[in-house]
Amino acid sequence: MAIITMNAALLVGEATRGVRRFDLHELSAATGESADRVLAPPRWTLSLRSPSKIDAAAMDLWRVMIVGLSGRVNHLAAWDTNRPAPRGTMRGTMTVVGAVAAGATSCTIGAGAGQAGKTLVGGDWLQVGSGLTSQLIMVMTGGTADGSGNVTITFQHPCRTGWSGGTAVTWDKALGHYKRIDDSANWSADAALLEGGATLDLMEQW
Amino acid sequence: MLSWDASALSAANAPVRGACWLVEWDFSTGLLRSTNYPVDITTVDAFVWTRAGNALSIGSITESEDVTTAKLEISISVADNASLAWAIGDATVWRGRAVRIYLQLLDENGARVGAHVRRFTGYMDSISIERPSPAPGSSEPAVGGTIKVSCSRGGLSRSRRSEGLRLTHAQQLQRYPGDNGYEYVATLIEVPALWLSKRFQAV
Repeated sequence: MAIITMNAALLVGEATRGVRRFDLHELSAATGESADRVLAPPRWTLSLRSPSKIDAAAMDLWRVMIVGLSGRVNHLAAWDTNRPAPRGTMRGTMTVVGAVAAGATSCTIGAGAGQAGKTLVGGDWLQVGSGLTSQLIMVMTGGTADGSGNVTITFQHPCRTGWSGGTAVTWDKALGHYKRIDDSANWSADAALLEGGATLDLMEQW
Repeated sequence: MLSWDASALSAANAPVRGACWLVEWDFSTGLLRSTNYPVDITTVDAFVWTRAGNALSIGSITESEDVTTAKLEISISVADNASLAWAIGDATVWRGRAVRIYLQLLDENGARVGAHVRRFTGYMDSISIERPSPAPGSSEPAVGGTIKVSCSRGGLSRSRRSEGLRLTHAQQLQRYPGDNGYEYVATLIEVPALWLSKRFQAV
């Protein structure tokens, strides 16, 4: 299985992001009491759609990406095209401060004293680790970095496997790894030889 | 009877919790630990249970006060190449070997809570691989398949009902080419012959 990284020059007409949960919900009709059974970790979902009329060169980037995914065999590494960098001001080389256990929803991110006073805000994307073992997280509650450049955040989805202290954190085009959830794809061209109509529906896979 | 530690008992009583199965396969080639959770699980004893996700499913585990042998079917997707390899390989790797299944509770974030609890101890008896048939009149090929590992609990009932294995003529030839000593074993078993006493055999 290969990882196809989304081309930075890819023209995206529409990108839809979401969450897919795998919970078993039980509701008592008699009392209204409910119980939820978490069957698996939640996954990010992503739907990409090309613009409707683009030239062949722009469409080639879509064709190469779609065919390169080989259906559901390979992964697509993609970032949020609407938010390629945090809306907060924190930059630099970020790492996880201290070990984080599986299931945790808060951690401390450090970026060095040069980032003191900088912020991470809710909705910022961070990629902890690299490759298929990495995890794409969304900041829930951000904060302002202290004098050492450390900021404690809460995030979702919960840490899946645990992170060791010093694990690299990517903020510039934080990648999630996805696989297609369908088996066929197509694109079209009109009489003016402008192309479009390519779509990809994906769900996070690790 | 289930006996939870304090953490697991708290999770069992919580309105939101998770759970997963942990399967310990005692193969002759070594111990394999797997889980039906889509993420590796590290239990309180620091063992890592490798994720199999939906490729692994456990049948109904029953308990009763009597001594009847409980059977359990563990299903594995044929898409799991590693499992397919041992399932269709040498039967001495798995036949009659122990399999233990534990229940591990998780909190709402998927974190392990408390110690895992053993729910089934048994032995792997037989393996079958089921593949779906294509729909009649359809040109679409059937896809998928399931490896079914049939297990039974240990105990007196299992020992008494043990069918054992019969050595066949073909197996003997495979081990000792040219040895036809088992040539009539099947006939002797399947077609009982009436033996007359020496007195009645006298002409």
